[in-house]
Amino acid sequence: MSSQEAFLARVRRALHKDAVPPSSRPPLWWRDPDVGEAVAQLQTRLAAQRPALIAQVQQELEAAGGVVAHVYSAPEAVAYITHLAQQKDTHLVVRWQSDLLEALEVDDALYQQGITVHTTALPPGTVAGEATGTAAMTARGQELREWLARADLGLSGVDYVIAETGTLVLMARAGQMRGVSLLPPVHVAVARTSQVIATLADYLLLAQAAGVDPQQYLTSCVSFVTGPSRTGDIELKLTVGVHGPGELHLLVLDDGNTA
Amino acid sequence: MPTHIAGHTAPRRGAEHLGTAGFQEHARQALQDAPLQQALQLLVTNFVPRRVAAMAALGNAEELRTEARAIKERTMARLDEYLELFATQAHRVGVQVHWARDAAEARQIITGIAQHSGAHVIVKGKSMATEEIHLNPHLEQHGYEVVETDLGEYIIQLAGETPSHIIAPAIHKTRQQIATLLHEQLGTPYTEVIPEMTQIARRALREQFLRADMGITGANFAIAETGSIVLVTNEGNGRLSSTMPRVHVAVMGMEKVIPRLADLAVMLKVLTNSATGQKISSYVTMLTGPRRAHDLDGPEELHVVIMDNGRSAILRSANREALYCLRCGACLNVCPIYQNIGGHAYGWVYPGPIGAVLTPMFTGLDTAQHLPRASTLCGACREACPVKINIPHLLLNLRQQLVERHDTSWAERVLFTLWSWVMRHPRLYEAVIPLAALAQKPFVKQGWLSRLPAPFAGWTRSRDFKAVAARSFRQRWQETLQHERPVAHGAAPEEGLVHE
Amino acid sequence: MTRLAERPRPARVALFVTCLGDVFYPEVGEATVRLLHRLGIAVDFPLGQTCCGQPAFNAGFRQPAKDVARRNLALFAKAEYIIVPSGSCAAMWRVFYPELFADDPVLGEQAEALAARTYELAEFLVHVVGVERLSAVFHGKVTYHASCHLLRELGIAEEPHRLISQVEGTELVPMDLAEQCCGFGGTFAVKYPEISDAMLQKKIASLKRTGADTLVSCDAGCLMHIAGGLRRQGETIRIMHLAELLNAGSATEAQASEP
Repeated sequence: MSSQEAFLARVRRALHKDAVPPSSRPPLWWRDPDVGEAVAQLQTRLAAQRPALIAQVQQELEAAGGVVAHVYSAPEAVAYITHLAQQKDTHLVVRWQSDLLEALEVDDALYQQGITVHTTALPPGTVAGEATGTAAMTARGQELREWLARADLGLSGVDYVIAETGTLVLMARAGQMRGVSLLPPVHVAVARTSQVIATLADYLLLAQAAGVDPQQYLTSCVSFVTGPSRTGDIELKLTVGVHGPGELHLLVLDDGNTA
Repeated sequence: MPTHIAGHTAPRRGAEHLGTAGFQEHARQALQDAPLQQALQLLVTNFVPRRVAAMAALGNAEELRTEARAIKERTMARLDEYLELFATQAHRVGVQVHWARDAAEARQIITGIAQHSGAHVIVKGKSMATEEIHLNPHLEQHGYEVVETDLGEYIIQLAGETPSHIIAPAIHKTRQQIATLLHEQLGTPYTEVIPEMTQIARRALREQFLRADMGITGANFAIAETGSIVLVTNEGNGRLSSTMPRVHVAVMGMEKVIPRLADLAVMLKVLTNSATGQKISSYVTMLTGPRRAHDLDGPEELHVVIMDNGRSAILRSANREALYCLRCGACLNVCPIYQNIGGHAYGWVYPGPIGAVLTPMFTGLDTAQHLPRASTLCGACREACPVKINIPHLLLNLRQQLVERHDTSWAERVLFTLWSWVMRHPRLYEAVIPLAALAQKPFVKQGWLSRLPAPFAGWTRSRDFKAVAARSFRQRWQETLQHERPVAHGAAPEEGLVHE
Repeated sequence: MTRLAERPRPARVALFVTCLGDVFYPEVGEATVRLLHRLGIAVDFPLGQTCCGQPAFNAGFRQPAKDVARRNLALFAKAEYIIVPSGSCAAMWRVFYPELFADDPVLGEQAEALAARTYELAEFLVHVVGVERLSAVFHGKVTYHASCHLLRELGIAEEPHRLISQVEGTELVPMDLAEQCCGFGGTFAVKYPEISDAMLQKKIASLKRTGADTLVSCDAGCLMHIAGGLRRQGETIRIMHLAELLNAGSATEAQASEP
């Protein structure tokens, strides 16, 4: 008997249950909503509530110690980022490789300030599905790790923003490296208004509904980030900036583009 | 500047069982410990009001608690099936699932993983499960360098102590004590300024994250539907421990599994609001397998060690609901016992009300029999619990077990045998009362006694004890009251409400 | 507790005075009887009663507790209302008697039936009798201690406040630690005297902060504990059971002809 079987047998005995073949068991879920319907309703609801939700994002994330700024164009977003970078005496920025950040064209503005920018794009010529374990990936991962360890500012997009708690949802897709929102002392995230959802339950519904396989949708890591890192471990006094970034800025971009 | 901590292979202070005499002594000392008492005041002035305000702000806290409890209840009833599903789903995304029957096996599995992966330096996120199995000393004995990265855990690791609270491990320490500790252990300049102390720790530990081969964390939830584990943290060390090293090991009790993704929303909400009064923690990390083909960071290996270690016995028992515990610490904060004696007096990993249930159930009633008794059953814990665990009733069950095992003093058994006899024979009861009134007479001053004989002497050390009344109620009833009559009962219900 | 004030006022109740009340605080039982008489309610006192069984039950001695409880079930079998001027004893009857006999089809049924007819005094006055005005008079600054079983096993919270505020001349002031356990806990006070005393001192400090001259509670155990501490410290704050307060200042003999 494998260790799994022995372990589960002990649990079953504790529950006074006999082993029942999977096909004969009652279903494990006690509610099974019509997911497609639920998602459609969600989208309608979100569209209607969006302005209120955006306001809620600001309120909640600021209460959690984040900084929230509304920008209405790419140049405005870039201006914020470069200004902040200057304030923080930034030399090195590491950013996600994403459509939104590409569209902003922020790199040039940063170069002009003498700031080096690296993206967390996959090595050139790599195909996402075939990339595991290749020498190119290993080397790329290593160099990015070193850059992230020295970076002054991490710049990312978001996958979603949850209004109820002011939470950024950052998923480890291709080009969206985890360390960008984790290692540098300052983290700036740029979100489109169309990415704002109401609650965590909304996100989990979307994950459940995503195509065939929630496991694939979820990626290896979903980071729900709400504010800078914090601790109360000394005398329950709140201190910001422990191991994760000490500053979190969210730029909410409202330029009518939902792409 | 030394950046890592020398191994602590000696048993840490507070870690080992105290037994009844040890508990009493430790509690006594705790009550006299002024810095500890000052630190414990924070529970009342800080932790409790924050939770109360947060739960009130939710608007539907009661419903959420009910739903959260229902999720736990239904999960436990079919725990084997949910564990099996979790394992199947986890395997699908490349997680290596390990099953540990007990602490020894868990330690063995983890050391095995470390050995197999060639690890030397291990960083740890906060995990009560790893405290439960005394993992650190074991790893250190096997030559691994283990660094606690949660600030509170880091502090107590430097101090050679065990955590005294489930979520605030160093709450028993004042800032002065911590300042001295950092200065002496790390050689950094002395400072009592909290942000400065935090930065010292951040710098010291950042290097460890970057050089570590393996990261060990706990898991707050394991989602059966997708084989995901969820870490709920604030500092970022949980994220770093599960991202930077090549190997990540998550250790969890088997009761952490929840059925579906959708269930996470409710569970997370009641957890963070109850634990720290936060709507959500700074970081919630959902990990579904090790790094994937397109990932440039993240661990290459993700291991989940699922522990029984006495949980199936709890599952079988009348105290099954103790397994619903989310390890939020809310019960500790409101418990008047914990508020007065702190966590170390409980003698094991889990202090406070839930600790008083878990400790005897995990480690045996033999050495922990004082814990179910050291409670007034006030119920504040049940009221604070996000999943409404009926801790007072669980303690009563344990007290019953102690009696059934004859783990009571001879004197107490005799006492209750006599008590039962007297209470079932009213004429005997009636005879005893005036006898007691007579016997006490020489010692009564204005209706009170300032000394009671052993074994009741404990009361009168600091309090007076009421004397038996000269005329009992039943005497007064028989002599006067039974002859008195109620006022006339009029037809209208208001009559008699305001009379005279 | 369902509101039963629409029903006709009970004509007759049975009193379970509790062993602590019988032996140490007979004035509580006395006040309870006289109060009920003033409300036009007749009182039975089955002389065979002794104790509810809680001391044994709390200590884990379930068999002796059952033996005692069984007697009570028989003794009070015909009572339509069982009034208990104690939160902890009422909880023993209501919550734990059914549990004690859960495995016994006959006694379990009886215990459930009796539990449904058992009322703590304040609860009875507010929800069954529907008391709105009282003729009690007591000039004093009063504060209320919420005993644990009353508050948390029975859920009786605002009823005592309502009744206290109906007493003429009484100024009711809140105590910040009103709902904090006083440290009595039955044998706990003797087995763990230092911890018990530490809890008591915090309670007394909170009491003194109110500036009240009188402390009211619904449990003789708590009253005994707090009074014992106050006395040892030479404090003169008066301790009163709710029944005594509600009976204060009015004619102590209720003379009336039977209908």
